[in-house]
Amino acid sequence: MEAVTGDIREYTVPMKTSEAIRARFERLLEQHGGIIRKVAFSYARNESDRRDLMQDIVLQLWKAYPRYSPERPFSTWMYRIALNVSISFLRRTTRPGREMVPFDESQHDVAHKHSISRQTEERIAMLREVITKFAPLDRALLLLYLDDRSYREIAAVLGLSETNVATKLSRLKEHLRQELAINH
Amino acid sequence: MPTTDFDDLKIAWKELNRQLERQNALTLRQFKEGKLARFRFGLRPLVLGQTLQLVVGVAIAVVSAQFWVNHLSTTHLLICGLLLQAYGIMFIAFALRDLMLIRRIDYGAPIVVIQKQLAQLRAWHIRVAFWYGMTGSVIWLPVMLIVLYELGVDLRTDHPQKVWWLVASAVACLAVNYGFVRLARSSGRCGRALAVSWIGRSVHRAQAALTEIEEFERELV
Repeated sequence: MEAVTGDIREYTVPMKTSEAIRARFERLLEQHGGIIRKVAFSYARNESDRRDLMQDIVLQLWKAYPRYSPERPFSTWMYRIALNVSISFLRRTTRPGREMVPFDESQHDVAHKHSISRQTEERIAMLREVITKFAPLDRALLLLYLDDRSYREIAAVLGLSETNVATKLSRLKEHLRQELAINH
Repeated sequence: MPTTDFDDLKIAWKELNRQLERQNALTLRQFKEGKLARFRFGLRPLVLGQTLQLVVGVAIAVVSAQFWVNHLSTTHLLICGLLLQAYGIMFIAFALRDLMLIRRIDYGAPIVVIQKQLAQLRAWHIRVAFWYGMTGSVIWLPVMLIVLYELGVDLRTDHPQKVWWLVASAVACLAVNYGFVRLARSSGRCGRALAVSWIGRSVHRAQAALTEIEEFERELV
């Protein structure tokens, strides 16, 4: 989990020039880049989509950056933008009547066979398969759950109450159990 | 069993992050070098389109207002000017509403809020398309009468019978358009056929997205 206090401390430094703002943004992008990568992976169907989606997210983050409020954790804000862009991307690029589009494994360069173990490779393949079974909004919940985010942060990202998040997560886990049982 | 499987998923998730980390410095480098393709994403084209529509709407409203003010004593020209001005005002109103909806979209807001706003924007576009279709099927008539008048031909005075034919054509256009819409909304065979057409699917998708968000948002017990 990324340090929330670190985010706030960093943003209390006054921003003087546009270059300083850009430099700070780039630093935050490097620091929290994992969020963009994981979100893009979860919503893109192939390597080319993933690159496009990552670009879209970064551009939207940069565009929205002036409205970012330092009182809020940067990671929460980044999740919101990355997920909003990705859900819209998925809706825009999914063909009508075919909401769930499976990953095109041959197009994903994530798991280079020579660099990871067979077991990890299988786990990532299973993860991919499971992710595609979820609708765009549930996929966001799954992603935040896998990322070990607190109920509070999940609620803030999605715009739900913490109680609702807790209930939804328990249903999501049930759904996951079923999916994993099918896969086994 | 399930805990192990959940653990497996989380391990895979962490491993995936490591793998992605190794390979994805490219986007950051592109951003630093200012090489990310601009205008690729989002609502910017829509904003440009609506701004253009606003300008066109204002132009139509102003020109038509000038026209009817100068022809207060000629009833048919006055009516043509007023109809065209109403059309221009509709253009302005729809464009302003669109721009307002787009303006309130802040991608930094919670997912449920933004996705609902985007779905509402899509649903609004579909509703607006109906009105453009209906008005478009008749507005050509006053436009034609005004243009011909400006070119020196007052069709109503010089060829009154032709005007009635044109009015009949406009009414027929309107009726066909309306019938098409009614048919698309019906549950008969034609309705079902039209429902799977592009228009039907757009309506369905916009509605399905809204329903999905509302269901997701609903408090579960």
